[in-house]
Amino acid sequence: MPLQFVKEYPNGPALVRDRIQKLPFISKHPKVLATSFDIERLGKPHAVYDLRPEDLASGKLLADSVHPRGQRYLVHSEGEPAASAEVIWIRGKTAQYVHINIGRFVGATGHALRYLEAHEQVKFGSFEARLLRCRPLYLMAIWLKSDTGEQNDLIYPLNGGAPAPFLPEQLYPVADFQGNIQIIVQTRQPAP
Amino acid sequence: MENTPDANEKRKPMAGKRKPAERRAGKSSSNRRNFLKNAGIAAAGAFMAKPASALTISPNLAAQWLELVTLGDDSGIIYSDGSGGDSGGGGNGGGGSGSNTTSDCLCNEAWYGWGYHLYAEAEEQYQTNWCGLGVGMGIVDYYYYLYGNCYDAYWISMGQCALYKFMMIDIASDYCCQFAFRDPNIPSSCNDSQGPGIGPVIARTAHDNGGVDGQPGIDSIVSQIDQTQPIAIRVLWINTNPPVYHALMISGYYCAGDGTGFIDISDPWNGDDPGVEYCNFQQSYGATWLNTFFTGPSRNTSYPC
Repeated sequence: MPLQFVKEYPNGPALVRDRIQKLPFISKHPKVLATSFDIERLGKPHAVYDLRPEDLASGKLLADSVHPRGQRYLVHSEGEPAASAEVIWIRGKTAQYVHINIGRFVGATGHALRYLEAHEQVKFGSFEARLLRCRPLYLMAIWLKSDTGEQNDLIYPLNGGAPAPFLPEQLYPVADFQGNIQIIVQTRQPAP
Repeated sequence: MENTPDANEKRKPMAGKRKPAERRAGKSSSNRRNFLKNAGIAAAGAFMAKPASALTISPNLAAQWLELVTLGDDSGIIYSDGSGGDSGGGGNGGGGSGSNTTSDCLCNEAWYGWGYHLYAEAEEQYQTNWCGLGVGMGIVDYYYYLYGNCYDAYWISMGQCALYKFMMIDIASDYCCQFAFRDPNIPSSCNDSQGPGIGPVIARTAHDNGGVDGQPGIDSIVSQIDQTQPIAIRVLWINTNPPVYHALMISGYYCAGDGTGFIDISDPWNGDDPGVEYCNFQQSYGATWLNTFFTGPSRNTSYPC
């Protein structure tokens, strides 16, 4: 079954298109000025979840250890992902923000989704593709949320977003993922 | 404490662990000249004059402007949010004092419609806890391109791993330089979460130029960028226990027609974030702004080439 994606916010595409169109006006970044973003073919967004590693390490379910952050679109240029546009909703406020990134995880996300779409383990299941992020641990992963219960979820750390002992671009069952997070949390020292 | 590398340090190999991007352009004088040429530094009058209402600036400063864009209100950009009250505030006990008011996170009227981006970017942090080194080396790279200072050349030749060695009192060899980019097998001694912060790194490389706690008013950002000086900041990721910090570089700004300020952020971990709303930095970035480090050309002008 093809990967599933979150139902997008009704005004999500409009917000993203608006921000991308204005981007060359609000940033003089050379890469922004040199890129022609294809705003007509945004595709489906994936939900973004920020992981609270201490909660997961303490034994909570993955679903209870994350905070929904928003939805993220890959914006293409000449057929390749060139930027990510994250629509951020702030609880209790009406304000919505679009955060643009043109860094390494844009291409890595596109690559991962293409790879996972064709993966044997994924093709014969039913998964929603989400972005699972833990910036304090420098973790960035695709979270394949199974329709058949969390024990069947799979986590796929992106290239450059896999802190030890994770290996990038490997599929981890949620139990293994939880075990590795426990290792990281237990060995992590408080910063000065 | 500032330690000037001695001759022995200068001869130590860097173990070839810097990735090609970090060695970009070979730092040759011809490349530097090309950079300056491309950046318009050498071409007096390459900037566009500001409108009559704008601030008065010196010709020397103006000549260094790499890029100015006169969009004014024609850009049609109107952003309604300007509350700004959520930025700073020292969340999670981080100690920041950067509470913004509506006025100081909005641009001065003289800058409406103006933007400027420096050709400065953080290097990708070679290991997961080397964010300060990525930003610090990005600043060294930038000033070397501008001025060709030999002390900057020294640090560029050494790279992030050598800078890590010099910053950590218990690492006395090139041992940490042998590990691959974001090597999952790197020992914690070479990827210490209490490793070099951005402030000490900037001081160690002689680019420190003052700073403030918390998120300053955007006029400070505009002023520094207009002086072709990128800014380093230290942030605290929200909802982290124990607290986890990160370093970022600000390389550009834009002031919209309604005063909304935007900044270009260069992140040594996940790359560049162009056009981040200054008043809503915390919500947009998911981090509290703790410290601001201004930078300047190397203070060490006598280091031998």
